[in-house]
Amino acid sequence: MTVVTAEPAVREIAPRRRRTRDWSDAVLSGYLLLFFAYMFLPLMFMVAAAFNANPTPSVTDWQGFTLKWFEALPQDARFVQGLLHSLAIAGGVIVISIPLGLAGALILTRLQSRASTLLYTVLVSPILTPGIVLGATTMIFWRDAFGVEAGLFTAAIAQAAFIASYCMLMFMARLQRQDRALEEAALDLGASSVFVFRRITLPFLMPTVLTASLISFLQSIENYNTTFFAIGSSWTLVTEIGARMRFGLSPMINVIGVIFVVITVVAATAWVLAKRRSGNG
Amino acid sequence: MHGQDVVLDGVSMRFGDFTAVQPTDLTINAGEFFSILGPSGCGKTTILRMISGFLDPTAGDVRIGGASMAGIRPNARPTALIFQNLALFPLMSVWENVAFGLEARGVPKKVRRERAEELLAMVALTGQGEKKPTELSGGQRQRVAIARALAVEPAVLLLDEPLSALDLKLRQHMRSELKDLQRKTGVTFIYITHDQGEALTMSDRVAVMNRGVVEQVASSDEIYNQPATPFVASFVGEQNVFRGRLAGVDGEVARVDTPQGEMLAHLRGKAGVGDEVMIFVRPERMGLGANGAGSEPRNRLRATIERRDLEGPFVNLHCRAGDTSVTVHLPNSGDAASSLASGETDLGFRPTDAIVMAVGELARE
Amino acid sequence: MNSLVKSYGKGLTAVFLALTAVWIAVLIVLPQARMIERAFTYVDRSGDAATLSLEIDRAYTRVFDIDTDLRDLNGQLAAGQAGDEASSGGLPTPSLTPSPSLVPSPSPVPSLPSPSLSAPSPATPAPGVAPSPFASPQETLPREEIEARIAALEEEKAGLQARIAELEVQEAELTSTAGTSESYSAKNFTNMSELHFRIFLSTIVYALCVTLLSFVVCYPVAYAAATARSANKVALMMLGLVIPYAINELLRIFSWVMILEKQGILNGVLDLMGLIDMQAGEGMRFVASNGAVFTVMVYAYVLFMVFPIYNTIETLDKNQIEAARDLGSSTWRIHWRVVLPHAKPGIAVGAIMTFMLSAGSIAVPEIVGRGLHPDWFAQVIYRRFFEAGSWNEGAAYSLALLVACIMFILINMAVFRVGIRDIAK
Ligand SMILES: Nc1ncnc2c1ncn2[C@@H]1O[C@H](COP(=O)(O)OP(=O)(O)O)[C@@H](O)[C@H]1O
Ligand SMILES: [Mg+2]
Repeated sequence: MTVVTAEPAVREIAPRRRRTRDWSDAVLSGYLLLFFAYMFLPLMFMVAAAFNANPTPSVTDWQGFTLKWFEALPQDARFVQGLLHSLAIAGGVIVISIPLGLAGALILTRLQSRASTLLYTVLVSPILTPGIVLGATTMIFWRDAFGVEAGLFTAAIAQAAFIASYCMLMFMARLQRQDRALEEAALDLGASSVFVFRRITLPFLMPTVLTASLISFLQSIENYNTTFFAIGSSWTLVTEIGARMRFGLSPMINVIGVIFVVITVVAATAWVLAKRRSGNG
Repeated sequence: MHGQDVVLDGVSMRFGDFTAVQPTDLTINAGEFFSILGPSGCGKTTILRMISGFLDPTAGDVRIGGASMAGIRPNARPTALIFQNLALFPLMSVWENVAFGLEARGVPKKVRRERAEELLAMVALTGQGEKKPTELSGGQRQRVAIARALAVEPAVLLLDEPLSALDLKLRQHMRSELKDLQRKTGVTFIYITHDQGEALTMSDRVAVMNRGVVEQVASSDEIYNQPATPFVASFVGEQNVFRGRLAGVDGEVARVDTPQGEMLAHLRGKAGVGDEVMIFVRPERMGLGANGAGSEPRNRLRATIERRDLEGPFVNLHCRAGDTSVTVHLPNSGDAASSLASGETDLGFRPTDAIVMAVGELARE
Repeated sequence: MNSLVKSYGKGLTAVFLALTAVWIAVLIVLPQARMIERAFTYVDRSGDAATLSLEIDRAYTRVFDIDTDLRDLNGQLAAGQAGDEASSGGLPTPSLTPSPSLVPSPSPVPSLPSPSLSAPSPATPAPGVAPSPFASPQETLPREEIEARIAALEEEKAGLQARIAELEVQEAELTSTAGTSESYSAKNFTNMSELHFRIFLSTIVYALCVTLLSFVVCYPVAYAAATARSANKVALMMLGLVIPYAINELLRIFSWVMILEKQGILNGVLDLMGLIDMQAGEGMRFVASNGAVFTVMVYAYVLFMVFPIYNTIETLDKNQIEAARDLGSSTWRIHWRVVLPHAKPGIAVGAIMTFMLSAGSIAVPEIVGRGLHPDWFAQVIYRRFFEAGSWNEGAAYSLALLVACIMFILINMAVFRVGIRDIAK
């Protein structure tokens, strides 16, 4: 290319580049539309079918608007009982996971030793373990070691095994943002270690305790794979849904779906709004 | 409140292979305002953290009020540390911050509250107790940190570059406040800074540190006028430096061959004839050749004026003599000499105003 | 250790260490160790014992089914008496109520004979289950017929229970003599049938495909979300991703089963388009095929890929993309040289999570598959535990799955050059 042609060539490239960019942006937008349709259409069908009088959940075969499935749900003792079981397990999981996760995070953030990577690997390993393996090992261990039959207790333990790891990661993330000078300042002013922990470290971690509890709660309520193996003859809301779905569909599950969707949408919107507000200052 | 003395006895600190503080002996008297001055990274904070107990010395012993501090945790030492970033507790109100040390000691809330108000009054923050630290200005936060440290009635107050985050005006104002506070309380202040202005104006004594070594401990005047090492000479204040070879020594006066001609100066430290040496002269001790007074012997050199800066009371002439640049501070007397702006001129200084030191000592740089 | 005491003092350090030790021991290491021990403990079950326990299992299952039916029938009777307002709703599959076969039968654990045999039958139906529209059959039978059926079922049940008692005595004798033939060996693995091994391999392959497909589907989305310029757009995209992600796995599966059912939406749409006639019983049974399991799995786990990638791309300095663009790089090149290398840890995390979830998923194959299509490996594990009652083989199979996942993690760490701390974030 000669010096003379160089200049116009440069001028030519710019619009062409813009054109490819517009083009790839358009493809991306189209793809996003498809993707979100893929994500949301099934959920919308599920919600719509909850209001269809057709006993087979459907939107194409519409037999009239009804709320009878909503009325039927609280009458269903196994679902209600399952919900109570789920809540009990979730409560247990929070009680176990928060202290364990907190202790693990506190140790890992301050342990200056080569063992810390090993310890870290062990403590996060449950996250990377398939849920059914966690459920099965818990079931086997408690039965063999203590004669505890699978049930709500083992389900809570099995869930806590990996939920505690999630809690730990959240606490670690928070602790990494802590200004250590604060603890030192408190210590320097004559506070005992316990006092520093109670008055400085714990208040700093409090927001994470709350979010970690919430996330533990949600994870516990939602869990299927681990619970399925560890719960024995008992059941939770979710394993009950699963058990029924294996034999056919019921609009009552759609109703549960609607409830979950509503809760999720409200929670997610609140979360995104809160995040935006804090992000804007 | 009563100050206590602090003694470092052969204290050193290693981080892995790196020695942050070389073995150091230092005695800080009770009730003294003592500064440690040195460039960033020279080990000042490390010394402070060994005194306050956050670091255990690799070797040596720290003694406060005669008692060894070995094995004593920070919360049991009679020291209070003011952190470089202040480390105010963000979730507590100002008064809770100030009263924190009392809370830790189990003092009832009512008493704490009263004491906090007293201390806040002392640092001119009356009525700000209910605010959160983030609602205060930089200077106010500074004073909260000081009040918080004084609340536990420490014998030794350790301050780690406490003014570095403030703007110039406030910094100068806080200097006098700190000095007053120290006098009022009688507490031993150990003040760390890389700002020589702060160290020289406030301190009873100053230690100058370089690369983990305390090079000189002396009063501000002595540090400035009689630096013990080339580092101290060049780090504290401005200096003109002439390099040369020692030609002879007569008592305290040394003869030095320099590219600018033979010069006489006071010898500090050891140097043998033929050694490479440096002559240090403060810009304000230099004058134009014509100003030489009486029969006193004078070192003279020819220089070209390159620039003239008017600084109000002073006029700074930036000159060049061979390949050495020379700065001269002249009082602004309004006469012809101080309005000289260009051309060649004679410069001179008295041998008593100049110091000779062997280069070897600076070769570690 | 010193650094801990320095930070928290002796007392708190001891508390934290104790908690962590309990966590590691009771929740992680000991259960794992026990599983491994069982996986390598081979119980020589003579053919007799095996057939026996299988027969006992079957009998229990049948008893449970009968109980369920009885409950339904009694419910109907009660409803009929209450004034014949029989509910019209219901499902085409009447007698199948919740989770019967999921109940672990207590008897088939040969290594622990006594406690399990004395355990009460777990198949006792849950008390107080009200007749619901779901449980009640579609058609209302005449009263006499119901009563006749109840009587027949009761009789069958009594017969079965007698048989169970008999069999269990036999089994107890057998196991007390055969119980000694327990030994450490790798036989639980080496005895894995060819079929099971093929299922294992194909499950791994499917899981890899799900992972790859998820990456292809998710990368553009993660990129778009992470580089969106306007705050509103970011918020909207986050909402669009978080909502389906946060909705229960089973409900996501459910929504797809609705679509793929024989009476489902997909066939309904085809019907509306006039391609098939559902009234005439036409329509494809999309569920219960491997294709359906695969499709639903991608849908269920796709979002586990989005967030890790999104998180890493978000930390990329967007100016780098702009700079590369200004230097005339093509879109492909920008992604290949700038974005993808930066997103590596996120991709590794996403791949590991997606793989682990799909390889270990029991929900999708069990629910979408309806037991009518070839099992996936998680189902095989499940059947080892709860149907064949061989916990040791179940443990061995679980261990095989775990090892496969660990291998996948290690390969990922090597390929993407990331450490364990990058992975679990
Ligand atoms: N915990 C540590 N580990 C390793 N090196 C350290 C540590 N603390 C300080 N240092 C090093 O010791 C030297 C002195 O640090 P410091 O005392 O903080 O200097 P300053 O005089 O600026 O306060 C620095 O080079 C610093 O990098
Ligand atoms: Mg420092």
